[in-house]
Amino acid sequence: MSAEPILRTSKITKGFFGVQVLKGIDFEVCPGEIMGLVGENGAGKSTLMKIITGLYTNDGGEIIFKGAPVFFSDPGKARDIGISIIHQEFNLFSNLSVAENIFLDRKEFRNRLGQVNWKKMNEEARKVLSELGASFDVTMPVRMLSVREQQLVEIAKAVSTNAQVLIMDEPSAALPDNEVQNMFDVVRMLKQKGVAIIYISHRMGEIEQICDRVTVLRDGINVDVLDMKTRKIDDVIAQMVGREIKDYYPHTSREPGDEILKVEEMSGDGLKNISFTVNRKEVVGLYGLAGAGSTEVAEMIMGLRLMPSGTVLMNGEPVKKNAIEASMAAGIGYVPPDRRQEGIVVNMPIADNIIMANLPKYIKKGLLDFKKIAASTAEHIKELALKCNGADQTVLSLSGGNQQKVVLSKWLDRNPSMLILNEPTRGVDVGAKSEIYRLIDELANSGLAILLISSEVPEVLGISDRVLVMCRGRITGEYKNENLGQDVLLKAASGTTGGDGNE
Amino acid sequence: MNKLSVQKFLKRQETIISVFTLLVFFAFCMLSQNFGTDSNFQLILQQVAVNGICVVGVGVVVILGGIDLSAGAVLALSGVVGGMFIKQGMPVLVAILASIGIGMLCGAFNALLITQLSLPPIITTLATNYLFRGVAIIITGGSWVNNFPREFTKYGTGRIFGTSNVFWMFLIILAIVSYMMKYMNIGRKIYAVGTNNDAADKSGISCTKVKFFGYTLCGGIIGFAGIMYAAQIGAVASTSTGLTLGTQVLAAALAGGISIAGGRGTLFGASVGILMIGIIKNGLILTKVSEFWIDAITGAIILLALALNVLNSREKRREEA
Repeated sequence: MSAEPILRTSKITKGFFGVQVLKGIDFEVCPGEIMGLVGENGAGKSTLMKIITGLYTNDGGEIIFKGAPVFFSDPGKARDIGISIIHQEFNLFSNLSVAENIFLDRKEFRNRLGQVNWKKMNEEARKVLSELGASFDVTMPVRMLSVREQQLVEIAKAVSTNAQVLIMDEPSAALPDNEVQNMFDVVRMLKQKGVAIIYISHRMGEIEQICDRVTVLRDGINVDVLDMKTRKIDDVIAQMVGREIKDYYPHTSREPGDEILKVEEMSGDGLKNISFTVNRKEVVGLYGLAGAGSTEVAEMIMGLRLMPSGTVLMNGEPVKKNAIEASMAAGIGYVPPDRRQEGIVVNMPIADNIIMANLPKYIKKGLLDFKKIAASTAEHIKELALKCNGADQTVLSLSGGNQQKVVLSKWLDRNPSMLILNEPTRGVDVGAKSEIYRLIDELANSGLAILLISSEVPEVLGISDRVLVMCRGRITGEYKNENLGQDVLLKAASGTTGGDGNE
Repeated sequence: MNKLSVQKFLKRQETIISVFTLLVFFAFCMLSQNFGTDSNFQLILQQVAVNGICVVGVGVVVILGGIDLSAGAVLALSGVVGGMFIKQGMPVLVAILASIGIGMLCGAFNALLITQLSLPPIITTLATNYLFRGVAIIITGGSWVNNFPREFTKYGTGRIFGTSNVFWMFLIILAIVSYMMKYMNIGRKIYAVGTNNDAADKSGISCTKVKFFGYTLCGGIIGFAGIMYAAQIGAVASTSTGLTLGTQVLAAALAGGISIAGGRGTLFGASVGILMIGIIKNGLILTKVSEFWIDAITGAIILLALALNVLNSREKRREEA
């Protein structure tokens, strides 16, 4: 790694409405280096990146690019001198072609009259993509592409502007697990070419795998820069939360109770003969790569998706098919994977969100009983240690972890006997993740049956009592979680062990 | 063309609406002796010409993610103003420019409210629809502007190769604006803003400028349609001209495959949509359907075209998955 940083910030400060978010951040990245940037939500990562790319203006301090101080009045300026960012939510035009998305509004592709040179644009787009090892039709609208291909379009866009610094904000968040490695290949290739890469992620495994150095932010200060050749990821986590994490995955050993949920020969919609059981007082992890069918299983149990054949039994009684009311009445709760779309109503207060699935309980003489609502929501907030200014705060302004607690409260309010949690820690920072794990553990100890659907192996191994693995619509493995290795799950999930994975 | 691109072609919204329109056309040919004649065909082209010009303008606005319900009032206002210029003895060219100018002002006013006050386009143009028509009524005192000299009306009533002048103008405007949408940078920016406003902003494209351009262009085109309406019909009524134009043109654009969410569809499709509506109205009259039924049947057929569109795009999405 060359010693001279291409981009450096010095004593950057920034406040919003009197709250100091950045308290003098020093940060640097060198050409041909992958610099990880980690920190809990609210530590200041995204604010810092927004300042570096010109979306925000810093109150104090300097940005030094190639040895000279720079100032950006808008995002275009930063891009022009070679600093590009790929946001977590892609900035793409789904209706426009791949080539246009890469080169939209660029002077090289239009003449003085403003006519677009489509031929040249398509040729250049093909060239840029092939440099990244991709070869898909550049005239196709972007909406037809897979998430990974869309990300490649984003990277191509950045590369085509001769980006010397490339910021990637949670680049793996949208990718299925099996495609993260392909993304890494592209990132490493850019590194070879001398691009400085700032890699922001909550996923510690990725940080460990790909980063040369890691900068840790905490409460608006850069607390440490760790060289990953000599340091371990545990050091990084310890720096992030400011304390040692001994039991990041709390897992009490417990004896499972009686069988509560039984799924028999669930088939259709890509699923093939899914049968399994979940017991009271047990956490069952359901692991599968994207497209394995685990979300379909959850939605069929919940009655949210048409179940062509099969039976779901709760306490031995068949649950009426395709009816969420029946599944809810049978005592099942479901925390969906896409929190913002399916889990919460972002513009509504915490209280309204919590009581949403249980309104009849709060109706007195045909009207809502607000005293009861207030009492009950206050209890949930206390119970789950939900950080907020009160039950009337809108959910929008909560952090990801606290939003997830709202979703959990919504179901806990119904006193369920079983919870299905689908990717419960997606987009949640490390500290809050640990809290959610502890909560899951406590709920299981209190007698709840929990089906945990996740595509993160450490999480599944960390908190499950038993693990089911799915691959292409089938259950390809079932294991007691005792000294279970990551490789076993990965093999079963990629279909290499076939159906003989039973213990 | 290989098999895949044939399939792609058949799946296009424009193809569907075109085939649908042809089916409607042949159905009326069979139902009425008088429908399939050359003279009736020319009559239909003449009848749809003004609305056709308007759909080009409104189509641009819908593609950029907006909506323009004020089209009918803009047509009336610009027609009234242009007509009054003619009555004052101004040269025809000046009157045309005045109408276009008034239309552009109306469009820019819509854009101003939408971009600067962040008002939703549907509400804004619903309100300005009343406002613009109100202005037209005030300046005319509610009366008709008519009795134009022959030197003016000949532009609207004349024919080239047997087809109405105004229809040719419609085709020329459609061709020019379609070229702009496909091959000019500004056209692509309109599609970009319509597809994803936020992404456009973050890519350094000024959504405000693009919206101003789109609404003003739309206004100008409708302004031109307004003066051509005056020349073709020979009269503009401030209170009733273009009363149903706004919804009709919008329905045509949507039936023709332009997405209400913006960013998708073509002006060609929208134009076929307006032709379809013209054929239905003309055909229903010639097949001697009771006039009480005409609106209901027109509505039902437009609904059918829209349903075909939705079903088609739903199937597309499944392929993508």
